Amino acid sequence: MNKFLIGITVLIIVSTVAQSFLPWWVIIPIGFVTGMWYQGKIIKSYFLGFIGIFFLWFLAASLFNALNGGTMAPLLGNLFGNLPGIISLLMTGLIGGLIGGLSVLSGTLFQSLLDK
Amino acid sequence: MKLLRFLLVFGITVFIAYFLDHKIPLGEKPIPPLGKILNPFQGLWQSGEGENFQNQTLTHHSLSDDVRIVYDQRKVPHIYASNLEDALFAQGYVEAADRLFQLDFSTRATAGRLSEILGKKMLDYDKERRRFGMTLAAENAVQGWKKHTELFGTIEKYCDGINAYIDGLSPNEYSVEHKLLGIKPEKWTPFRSALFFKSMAEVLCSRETDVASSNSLKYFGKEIFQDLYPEINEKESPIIPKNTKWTFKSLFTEEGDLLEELSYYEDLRTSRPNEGIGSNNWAVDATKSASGYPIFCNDPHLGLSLPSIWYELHIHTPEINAYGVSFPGMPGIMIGFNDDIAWGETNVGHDVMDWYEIKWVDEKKEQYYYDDEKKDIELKIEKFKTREGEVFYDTIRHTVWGPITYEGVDEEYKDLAMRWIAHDEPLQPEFMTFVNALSCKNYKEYLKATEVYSAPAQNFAFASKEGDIALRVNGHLPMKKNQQGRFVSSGDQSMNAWKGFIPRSQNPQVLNPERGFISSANQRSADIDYPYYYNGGFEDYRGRSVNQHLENMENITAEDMKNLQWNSLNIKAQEAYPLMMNLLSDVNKYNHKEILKKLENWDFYYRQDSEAAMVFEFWWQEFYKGTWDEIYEIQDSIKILYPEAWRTIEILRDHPTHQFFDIVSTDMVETATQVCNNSFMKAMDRYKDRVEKNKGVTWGDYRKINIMHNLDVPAFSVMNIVTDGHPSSINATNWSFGPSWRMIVELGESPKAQGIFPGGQSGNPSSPYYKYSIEEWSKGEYHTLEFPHDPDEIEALFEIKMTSNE
Repeated sequence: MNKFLIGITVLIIVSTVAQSFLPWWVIIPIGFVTGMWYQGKIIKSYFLGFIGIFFLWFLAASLFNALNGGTMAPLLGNLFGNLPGIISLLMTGLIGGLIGGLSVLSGTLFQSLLDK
Repeated sequence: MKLLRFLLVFGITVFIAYFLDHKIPLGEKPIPPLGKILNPFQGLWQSGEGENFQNQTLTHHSLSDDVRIVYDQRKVPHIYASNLEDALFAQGYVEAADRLFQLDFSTRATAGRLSEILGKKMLDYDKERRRFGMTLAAENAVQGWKKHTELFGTIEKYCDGINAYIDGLSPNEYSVEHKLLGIKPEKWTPFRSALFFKSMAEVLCSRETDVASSNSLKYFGKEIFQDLYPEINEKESPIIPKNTKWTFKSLFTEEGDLLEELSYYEDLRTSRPNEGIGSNNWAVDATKSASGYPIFCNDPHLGLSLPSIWYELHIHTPEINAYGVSFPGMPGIMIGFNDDIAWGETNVGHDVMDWYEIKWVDEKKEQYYYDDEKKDIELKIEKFKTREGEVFYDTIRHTVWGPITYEGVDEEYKDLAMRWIAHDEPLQPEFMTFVNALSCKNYKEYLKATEVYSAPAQNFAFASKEGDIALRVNGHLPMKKNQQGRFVSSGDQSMNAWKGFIPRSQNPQVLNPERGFISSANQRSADIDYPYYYNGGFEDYRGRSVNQHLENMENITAEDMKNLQWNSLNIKAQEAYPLMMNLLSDVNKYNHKEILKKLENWDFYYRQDSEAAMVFEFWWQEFYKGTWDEIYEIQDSIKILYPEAWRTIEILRDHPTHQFFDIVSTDMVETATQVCNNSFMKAMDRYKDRVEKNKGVTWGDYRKINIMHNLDVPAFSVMNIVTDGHPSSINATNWSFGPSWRMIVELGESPKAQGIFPGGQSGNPSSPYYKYSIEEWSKGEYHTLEFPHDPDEIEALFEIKMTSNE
């Protein structure tokens, strides 16, 4: 398995465990360390974090939404302005992805500082 | 370069994350902390509620035995316990489970603590709550309750139930609203139950017009004042039937009246209870019902909200089998029934909030005159924390009358102290009223059970399987001199105080009246021959409508009662209409034939599909404004009382050339004829405007009901509901209030009951049980209310099994 996929997998697993008892922003240090280890190109690093956390948050939100009767997605869609439920799930993914991507990128950039 | 790049990216990451974790104060609608509320592990995704429920168990030291709670298909909990205390623990638990945010938020609001969670913009609201003495009232209540040590344990059990639910919550299980606001639920105490009770007092018994009445008296002088604002409506149909003989004399012997002119006051009160709020209850006896048993009905018209102010539940113990609605936050069932009796309340309009002008010794406002003494003020400092982290203080001066609620803004205006019945320490444990009622079997027991009640005074209606029907104006009613409390009084004389309370046995009441029914709809309690003086705000049409209908009804069934609760006949329109039509000119009649035809065929019912109802409503509104244009114009500089509708109609009938029909802005001298025609034209303009803008021209198109969430969030609210009714009709619906619970109980060997409120059991906006019954309610439909002795007869949605761990 290539490093990119390993990175995503580890990021997802560690974030899932950590977030069940720590605040949501624990994904920043986790992403940061992942980035330090990954040391890829800027775009790739960013996407590793983005894709990893996007999918984690999107899928986890979809799962909890479904477990609780599927009623939260349409309610949040309404709350954000008459949007269909899927938009609130995608928004959740995007917000997670944005922070995930930036965190992994930060880690990679930090590692390249040390390498000097 | 590399360092800069890293710092930039990392900085942006932390910056964005910070804002996703904190509320962004962007004008009126701040952006919620999206990271916090959307992250799937702690955020809102954890708070959804669907239709699949798991059975639950709970072990708690506060219980003495097992409790089984079976939720039925509408999510109504049926509590089966082996004693009252355990049942009340369970009541607290189920109310918290469904309504925790409502409980938590409403009592923080009453305590004047909303700035803590909503920010500085709520500071004025909070200050007014504290100056109203809401916390003082609740503290006094708890102090009084505590003197009844054993019974106090009962309310503590109820609080334990609420706290058992709160203690069992992990932060990711907090309610949608708690998460959106980023707050934790606070522990429940008897003090918070008292706060809830006092918030009801504010809604129900803080109605007064003392400042406006004083201004009107001074502005118009006695003669005009008495002409515009008489107290007695000759057409009134009081709660206690007119021919009732009073077998006692008044204990109050002071002569004279308090129709005194003091000065002008500024109206500084910003929050007033909605004027249309009221209720109906009635019962017919065996002579009127088809079944040979009484039928009992009650529909309280409180503000409509989501979640509803009511919560349905069934309580079963070896001594109790009762069903009905509670106010989450108070133990017991406010409006309900058991195997033997049915009970319910409507509000009493007696004025129990009076204002006293304080005469200061000097500008320091540390001493005031009271009889010939100089009395020291008692200072209380109130602290307000805001969400923004600031702290504010307000110093409230307390007098013998009560807190100085309003301080005049310039030297001319005087400071007013509040005397309010809700501040009094209760002598009896009033919270037991609706707990005691659960097990009553007959009127004697019910009378005793409800004797502990003090304020806000209510018309307690009753019916029993044995065949009794009864109604009692229940609560503390102050003894007053003629006209006392209608106006601001001078606070420098002790003789202006209330002179004690009417003995409970002399409160207006009636048992099994000859006419075969009892009823109340917020009208005056008794006819003018009732030995005590009282004033206040009373309804003038609904009660007449109820009584007229019930007098003419025979062989009554539950179906007839449904029709009566749905009845939208407006007697006000019925009486004003012929007078106004008579004055309409031929030109108007010729030019508006179409609409007039609709008006001519109208039966005065405010049905949703009636065009005539909307047109007449416009006409009446314009007519009223045109008649009292003098009063409308002066409001900006001084608050003057608006005359009541019934008096306006009476003046139109008897004095069509009354000076007030003159329109001030013209040189001519107008009479009722001009006002009628002008207002008709205006109404036609409004009608045509709606036609042109395609807005719809039926009553239902115009008058739509919004049932708003506690936080006014549109996504959590249901808006633009179309239904029948008018505040002056029995079906007393209006823009934001209406029959918040409709109940009909046919007593008998085993009572049959139906009921509905516009909303559902769940307070979770994502739940299918949140907006549950609104559509059925808007069509006048009911649910059958089941209260079996055997829990296994219930088709269960899920169950909670509670056990004691002692």
